[in-house]
Amino acid sequence: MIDIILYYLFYCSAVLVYGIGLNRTTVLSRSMDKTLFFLTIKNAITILCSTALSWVIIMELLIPAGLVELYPLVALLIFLSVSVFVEVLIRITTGFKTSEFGVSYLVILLALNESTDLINAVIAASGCILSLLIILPVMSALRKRIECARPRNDRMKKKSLIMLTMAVVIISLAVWNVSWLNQGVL
Amino acid sequence: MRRSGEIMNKKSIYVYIAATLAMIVPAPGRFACGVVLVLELNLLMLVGTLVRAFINRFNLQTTGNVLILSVMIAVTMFMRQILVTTVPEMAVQLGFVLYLPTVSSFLIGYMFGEEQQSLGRAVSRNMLHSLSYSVFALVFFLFRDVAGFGTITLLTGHGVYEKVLFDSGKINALVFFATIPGALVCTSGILILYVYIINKFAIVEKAEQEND
Repeated sequence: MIDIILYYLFYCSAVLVYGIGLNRTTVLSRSMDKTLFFLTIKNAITILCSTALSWVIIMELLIPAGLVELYPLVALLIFLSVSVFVEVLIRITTGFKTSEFGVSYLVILLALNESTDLINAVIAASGCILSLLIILPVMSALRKRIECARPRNDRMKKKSLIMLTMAVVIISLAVWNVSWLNQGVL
Repeated sequence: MRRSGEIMNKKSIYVYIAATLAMIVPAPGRFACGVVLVLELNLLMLVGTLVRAFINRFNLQTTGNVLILSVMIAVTMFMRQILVTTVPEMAVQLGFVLYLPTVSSFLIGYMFGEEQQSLGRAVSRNMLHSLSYSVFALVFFLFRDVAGFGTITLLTGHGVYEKVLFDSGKINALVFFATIPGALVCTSGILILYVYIINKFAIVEKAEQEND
């Protein structure tokens, strides 16, 4: 279990290697506030429930009917239903808007694509959510550091510096991988 | 007027960078992959715009969002099935990446905007933006393919054709551009270059205004 979480958290980070939410995290890291907290809670519940439900439907209905290639559509319909339900609950109880589509849907697809059973799928989805969560404080810290160093309000230069720093973070995460030393591997 | 033009330019470069981060950076740095993704992006933009016009025409706004998303996912699945039957190795290589353009902010932004236009105008405007981004994306993929792998890959009827330009093993440093950090550095480089050019133009324009 822990190896799957670590895989999606560090070795093959859902954000940095798969590219899920690469752009979204740079936007969300601007403000670490209550909205982000509720957004995380809502999306975590939605992703985990949708992954589990989609997996059951794929196994029980799509595979016996030979329609497994339709799984993204089934996952989308389940995701939208669960997302609307949880969104309504959060909006009524807290008043925060927490709508989000792209990142959550991609995490569900990745978890369904790369898992062998239901528990595996839910753990993979949890690993992806954690990888998104762990990158947000890092990005926020980077953003603040760049803002301190560059008081001039030039968003483009800041954004390019953030991208360069992200590249360095990816390189540092993959530093244990020395396969490129062997000629012809890449 | 000039100020609004500058803001438009800055906005469009943000859209390009956001789309690049969402779609191009995680994709394999092969020109053939770029061609497939660009085709998919344009197909999705065309179909999405038509569905959006259909929804507006028949007042289906209540179920509109679900309908657009379902159609776009269905188009992606259709595209994937075509790839599986024609170029299976490309379908395997792209895998999960095929779904990135479908949920990217680039497409979603056009599909769920408040603006209502006639079908002709909406198609021409969206396709123009999509095609201009496609040119940028193809150049980006071509650079990564040539610099990172020393090849140009093309899609043919018999699969992926690879034209070897030079032995990439001899220039190890350039292999970096085939990786995700390499793609990020490229994106950042484009942004820095763009800012540099914009600033130079601003200086020239200011000098001209002072002379007048």
